Amino acid sequence: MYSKELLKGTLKTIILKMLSESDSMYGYQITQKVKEITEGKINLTEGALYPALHKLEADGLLTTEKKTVGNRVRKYYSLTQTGNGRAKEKVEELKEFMETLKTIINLTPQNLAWSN
Amino acid sequence: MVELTEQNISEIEVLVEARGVEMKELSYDLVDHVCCMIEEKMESGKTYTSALEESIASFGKKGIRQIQEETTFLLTKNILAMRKTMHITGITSATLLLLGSIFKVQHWPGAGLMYVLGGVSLCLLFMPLFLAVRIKEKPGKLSTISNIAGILGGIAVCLGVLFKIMHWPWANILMNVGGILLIFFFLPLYIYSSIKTKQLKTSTLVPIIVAVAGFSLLFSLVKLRNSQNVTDAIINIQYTIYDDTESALKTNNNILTSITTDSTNTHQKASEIAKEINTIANNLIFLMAQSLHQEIPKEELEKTIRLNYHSLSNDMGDLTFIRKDKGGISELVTLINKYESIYKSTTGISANLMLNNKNIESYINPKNTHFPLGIVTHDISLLNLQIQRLHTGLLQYHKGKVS
Repeated sequence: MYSKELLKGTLKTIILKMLSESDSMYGYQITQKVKEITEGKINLTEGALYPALHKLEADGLLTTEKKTVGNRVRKYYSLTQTGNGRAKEKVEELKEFMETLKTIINLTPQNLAWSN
Repeated sequence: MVELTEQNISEIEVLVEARGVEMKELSYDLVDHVCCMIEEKMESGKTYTSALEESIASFGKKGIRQIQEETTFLLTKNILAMRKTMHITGITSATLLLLGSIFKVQHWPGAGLMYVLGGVSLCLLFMPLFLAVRIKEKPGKLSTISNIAGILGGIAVCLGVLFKIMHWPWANILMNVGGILLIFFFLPLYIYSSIKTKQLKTSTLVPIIVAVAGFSLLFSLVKLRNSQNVTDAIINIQYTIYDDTESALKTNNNILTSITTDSTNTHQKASEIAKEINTIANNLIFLMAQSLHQEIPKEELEKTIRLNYHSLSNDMGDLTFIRKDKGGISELVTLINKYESIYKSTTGISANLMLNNKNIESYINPKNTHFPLGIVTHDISLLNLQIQRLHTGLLQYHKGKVS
């Protein structure tokens, strides 16, 4: 399990990436899927997921569709056209960021001395 | 595959809403999420009750409420500056209006300015900002229309009250338009959308009840200041004055024609003045009524004053209407003084009229601009009646002397 702080900046990207891999998903499904893929290392909490989903919907990146499943209303989220484009951008951005982070993390005293 | 019953689900709905989730869209998400958690736990062999308890507990004590708070925060973050401006203008205008009313009650200077600044910033800054924030927070055709109707109605009512306080024209029209917008457009839309989103419960119903009851009481307070009996009695006093004046004028005419001309002719001079006083007094009463009812044509207004007085508004009339060089209130007072001195020199008796009355002074003093229509009308018509009665006495005195 990673700390909340680490997840905070990447949550939207994770959601967008998950949705870009399937037609539509509901909230619980997203949390389970992420848990499954990361072997339980990343656990999206409801408290972070749903506010983010609603924000993305308000920004026009997601749309919802209501279906009645098991006597209750279930909201399926899917990417809009803009959402699709944004998902790609966000994933690319995160990849680059991870590369950049690597250079910082791999920094050793020699590197520092050399660059000085 | 475990499936929850409808009863289970409505129980979960109640639990989620009881924890403060008011956003319907979020509530769908959370109810479904909790159901999924419970179903998963039940599939691994737990009973419904313990699964429910565990699932709800996993959110933490205030967890569910926090989800909604976080959602609203994210959704309204970009209008934070607008909300801040709205709060500041709201607090400023409320403070100004409160100070204005305190100053007004204490008769300190500056009350009018505070009312105007407070009212204008309330109606033209706070309310439009509030509308913009509402539209951003709750988009959708229906709620936008209902918000616009509500805010426009609110602006019209507030401006109407401000205009009323400042004695500006159009106050009643503004208040009526605002009231109609609020009662016949905003309220039905508000109730309809509450029913549609299934949120018609205490938190929606109480504001509606308070608003309707409060508005009705306020409306009656403004429209019916006195009871009907009191109003009728006051109007009857006024009609009696007019009737008496008319009969005095008739009597005076009769006596005048019966007097054979004498050498001095003082009574004819006095008759002329008395007649002029009557003309000016009636004209001033008419002008005062006209200051409040410019919409009624001249002839109709003259008839209304005499026969249908209660239909006139009893608001503050504009005194500048009766302050003219020719035929104004000052000339009326001069003529009355002139008549008094003729009366005294002829009969040797002082007339003791009510000319030193404080009201009459304030009609002349340019410091005062407005006075209740009914009182001005009453004072002027009573003065006229007194003169005509005095004149009856003067004429009879003459008649006795000549014959």
